[in-house]
Amino acid sequence: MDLTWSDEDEAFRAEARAWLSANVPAAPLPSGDTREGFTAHLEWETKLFDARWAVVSWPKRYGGREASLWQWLVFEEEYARAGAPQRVTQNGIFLLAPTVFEFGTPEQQERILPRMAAGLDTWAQGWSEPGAGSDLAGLRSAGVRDDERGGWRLSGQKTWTTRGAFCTHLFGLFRTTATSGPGADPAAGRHRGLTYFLVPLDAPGVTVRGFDRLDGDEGFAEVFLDDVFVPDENVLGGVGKGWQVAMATTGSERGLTLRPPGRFLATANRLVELARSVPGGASPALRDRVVQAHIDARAYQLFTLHQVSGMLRGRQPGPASSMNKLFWSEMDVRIHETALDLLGEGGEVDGAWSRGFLFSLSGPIYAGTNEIQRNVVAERLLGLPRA
Amino acid sequence: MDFELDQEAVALLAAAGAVLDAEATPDLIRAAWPDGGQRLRPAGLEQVRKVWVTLADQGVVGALVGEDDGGLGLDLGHTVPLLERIGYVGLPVPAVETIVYAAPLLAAAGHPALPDMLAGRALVAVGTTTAAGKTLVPHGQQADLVILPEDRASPPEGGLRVFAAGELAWEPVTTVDGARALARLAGPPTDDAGTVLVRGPEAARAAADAAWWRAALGTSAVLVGLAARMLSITIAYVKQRQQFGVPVGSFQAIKHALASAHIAVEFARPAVLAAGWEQARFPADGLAAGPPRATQDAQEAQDATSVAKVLAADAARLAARASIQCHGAIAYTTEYDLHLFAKRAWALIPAYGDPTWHRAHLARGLGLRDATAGATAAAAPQQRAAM
Ligand SMILES: Cc1cc2nc3c(=O)[nH]c(=O)nc-3n(C[C@H](O)[C@H](O)[C@H](O)COP(=O)(O)OP(=O)(O)OC[C@H]3O[C@@H](n4cnc5c(N)ncnc54)[C@H](O)[C@@H]3O)c2cc1C
Repeated sequence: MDLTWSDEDEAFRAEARAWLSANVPAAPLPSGDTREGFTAHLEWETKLFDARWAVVSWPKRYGGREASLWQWLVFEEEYARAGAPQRVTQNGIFLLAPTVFEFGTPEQQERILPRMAAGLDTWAQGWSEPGAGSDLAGLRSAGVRDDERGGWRLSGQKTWTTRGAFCTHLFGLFRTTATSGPGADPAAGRHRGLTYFLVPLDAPGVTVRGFDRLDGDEGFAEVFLDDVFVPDENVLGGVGKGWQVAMATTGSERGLTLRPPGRFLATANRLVELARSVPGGASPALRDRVVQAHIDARAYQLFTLHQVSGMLRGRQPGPASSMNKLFWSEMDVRIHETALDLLGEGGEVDGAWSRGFLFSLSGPIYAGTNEIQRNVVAERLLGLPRA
Repeated sequence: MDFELDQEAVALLAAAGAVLDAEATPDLIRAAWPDGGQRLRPAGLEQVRKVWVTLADQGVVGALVGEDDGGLGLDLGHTVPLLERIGYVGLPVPAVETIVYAAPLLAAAGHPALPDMLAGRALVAVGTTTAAGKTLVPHGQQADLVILPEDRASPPEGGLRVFAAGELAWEPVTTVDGARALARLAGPPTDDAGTVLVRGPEAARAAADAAWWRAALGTSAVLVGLAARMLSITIAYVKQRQQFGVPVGSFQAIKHALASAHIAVEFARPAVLAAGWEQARFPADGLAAGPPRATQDAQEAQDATSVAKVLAADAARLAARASIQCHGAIAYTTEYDLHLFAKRAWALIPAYGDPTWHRAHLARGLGLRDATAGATAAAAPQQRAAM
């Protein structure tokens, strides 16, 4: 065991810190979940990419630095510490990209990854549908084979698509083998008849309607597909393999990549600063909650470091990533509730804490609700019987 | 950065684990419980001692004692997995007090009882003073040697003493966990009793503080083990107990309660390991004349320990609560084994700083003022119980 960072990692940290402190915009950008803010954030992404900080762990030829997992964690710590802008490209670089690295053909990797890293293509996640949320395998948007043109025609509706109104592309799941009706393959089952598609949102037949989230930003979208042609080269991981490919993405989404610990360490530190600024000091009860935020953020960091140590020895977290998701999402709500209590009647004023509070409430819902995650922990880690 | 256990820790656990798994059964814990007349049973205590001697043969007692003094020369971090296992099996001896608190002190003093201790023939208990000013000695009825940290100013020249159990006037106290063998000091030790371990009030305080922090860490490890044991008993039970024609473990309310408790345990464990590593690297003693950097590191080691103790104590409390509830009435009897572990956990949650004390300690380090207490919170360890 050695819980110190190597000289190399510290040098990496110093470089990241120096660059961030010289380049992070002094005034916060407008929310990346608005049209205007999205554009401002893309400019920031260009800056990150030009300095090779956009995708630090990626190969150099795609604009990365081939940084180790440790260095990636260090970078995320510094990024959050510096209060740098939200990553509007995150669903591409953190959710789709790991899947492309794992399942994509070399041609797909070359076509997709460099443009994604540079912020030229921005990716939205098209999984949920009006009728398929937690029960994702119940999705009904479907693809029909078009042999003549060598591809598929997609129809259906996706919803809750984050930043769908601003992104250029969608990665989504579609049913390609019917489970009932003529030509159906009931044996394929609900999970086996799905295919993972990469869809340009400017393709003919796509209609996107943005709508407001709880915070009033147009961060959600509905995506309607009406006989949208998608060529075979845009199938990721093979026809009928969509479920497997998608489950690889959920591992990233629940676990490390979407929510590295630096983010919560930074939030907890800001909470401590807020509490310190309370005239006369916080009440003992509130002070304890502030300290608990510090403890929890540290616990999440140590859990993650422990997990990464295992990963570097070939032990993949698998269903344990559900524990990460449960922990960070519930911690985030508690931290923000505590901040609002410290702010008292000032808490209703629109600002970083009130916005952060609203957003924290979505953590236990997206990336698989916490009820579903607890089922996963109980069934797959504790071995409790399915209902 | 690397969270993988050191070879030494793995070897120590392997040596002791086999003995513990084979010998430290729930029946052994029951042997350490008093009979109906509330007297400890000599035959039972003898049985416990035999196991302790077998463990001592593996070098366990001298884990933190240098090789020149007949120990293994390991550091505190190496003992964490061992102590967790001791908690897991509920071994009814003052293991943390003997291995972690006392052994390094006796070794440093060249105390003549050290060989007996390393051979498993002498158990050491450590006294604590309650809010009401009473001195309680957990395992005092069972111990051969007793350290009373708060008494160290009594001898004329000042110092930290170790007493033979027979030198002290004490009375047995009935406890919730019958295996605690708790004794209450009936009167202060005489000036000429005991032998001095550390001479001089300053050095005595520093040594007792360091031992206290080591024991706080050791207790955290034991609590993680107890919590994990309670959950493993409960998981096995809910898989086989049937109601409404199905295992009760298939009910979501049960699954979610156990998933939450499991997460609390899994997030406490890396924090305890990390605190052990920090303490081993920056031992709190010997820093009186150290450079400022060393003082800061010692502070970090204490803070890491406070984080660990809060997480471990809260996890154990949650695990006990969830375990009892998920069992139903069977857990509400002393015939079923669960209570043996739950009661130990409840006894150890307040030991060596309860979660409130450790949160207050962290609050001070974070510069958080307490509105009611004024400047800072959290007194030195020795005043802990009086708070
Ligand atoms: C901020 C935000 C961003 C999102 N971004 C995207 C995106 O970019 N792309 C995308 O595809 N989706 C996105 N989603 C959608 C998200 O994936 C779904 O909200 C989620 O999967 C839950 O589905 P649902 O909302 O339909 O709730 P439902 O599945 O209808 O669930 C309703 C309630 O029932 C509970 N429940 C359901 N099934 C069970 C069960 N088996 N056991 C116990 N309880 C159960 C749920 O936990 C929940 O409390 C986003 C959601 C949010 C909030």
